[in-house]
Amino acid sequence: MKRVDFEIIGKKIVVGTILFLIPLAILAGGLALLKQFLK
Amino acid sequence: MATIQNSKLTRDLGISLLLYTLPVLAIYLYFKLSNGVVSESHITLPAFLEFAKPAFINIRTWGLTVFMLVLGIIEFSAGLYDDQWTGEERKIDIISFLAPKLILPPVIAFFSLTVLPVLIPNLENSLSWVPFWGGFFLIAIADDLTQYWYHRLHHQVPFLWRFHRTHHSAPYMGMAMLSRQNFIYTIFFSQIYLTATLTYLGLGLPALFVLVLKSFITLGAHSSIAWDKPLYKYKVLHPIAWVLERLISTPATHHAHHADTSGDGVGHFKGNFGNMFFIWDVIFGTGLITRKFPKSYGIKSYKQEEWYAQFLWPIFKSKKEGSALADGVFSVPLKPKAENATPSPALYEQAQS
Repeated sequence: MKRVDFEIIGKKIVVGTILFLIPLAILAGGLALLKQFLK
Repeated sequence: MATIQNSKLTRDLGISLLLYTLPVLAIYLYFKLSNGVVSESHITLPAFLEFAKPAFINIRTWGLTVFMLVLGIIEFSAGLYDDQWTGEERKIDIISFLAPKLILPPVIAFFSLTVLPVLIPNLENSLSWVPFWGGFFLIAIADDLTQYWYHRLHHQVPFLWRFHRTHHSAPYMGMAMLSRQNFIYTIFFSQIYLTATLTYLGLGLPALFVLVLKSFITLGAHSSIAWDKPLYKYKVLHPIAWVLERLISTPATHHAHHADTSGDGVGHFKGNFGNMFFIWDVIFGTGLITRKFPKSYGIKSYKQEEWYAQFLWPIFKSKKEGSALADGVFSVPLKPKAENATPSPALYEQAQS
């Protein structure tokens, strides 16, 4: 493996992490806010 | 052209942020309209689904694998692979089928049982107040919309395409296509970690039901047994077909996504990205519904690359001449440096988008 291969895997992991964190923040964050609001 | 695609990507990603909020709004409306009280009690199944729980647990743990194997035997016996399942195809299909089943469960278990308790120690079961159907709706959107984007980006972002190329390289369709993926594509699936996290937060029960339903829908969409054909043949069933083909992935729409052509009125590898739900393609305008099946599948640049290159690129490269998975092939054309008068001889593999 060359440096370019590590870079491409690294960039892929970054994309995957963003796709994991954004929905999680909206859903779990939204529900946490909702719970406070409904109490 | 690239600018148009980028602006459409940005717009669609913005719409998705709103779509992710829909289940939260639905749960809010449920509590408001029913004057429900938020309790700390764990999620409970509706009574009429209690009997189904053991079945769903068994399907999730071992039943689906058995079902896939039986389906594969039926497909093979019926000659539906058209004698194309030879050489490297067999190796890549079998290794892609087995490896994730052996490696992914311990990885997900480690993430759920070791990583999450360290990262968010006080939040275990913190969402168990969410009613079952709210959780079901939430997991369905969270898991499948995230996979839609993961999938679409691997088609439309040039440097990601070759992680997904293996899924499209086979010149046939069948149950094996469901798991035929580059392992790096599979191991970094965003939605499996998202659903594992939501399970840790208390939504495990709805996740179980969503994931079993999703497995059957995606398996059916990849299978060479076109279960949807009767829906198009009999006029009385057309209304059902109209709804189903817009709601979920069917063999017709997903086979079109695996066609080796796009723009011939049937094949549509430039869209039909939905996995469980097709509704994402309808919303974002990436869908094509024709009720027809492509004449041929795969990708034009396929060189029947070695199984190890297809499974583990870029860790292992293909030695086949002209292969997109060979050493020194790029995802976009190299820009020649100003001082370099001769054009670069480097090859590049265009994303299938």
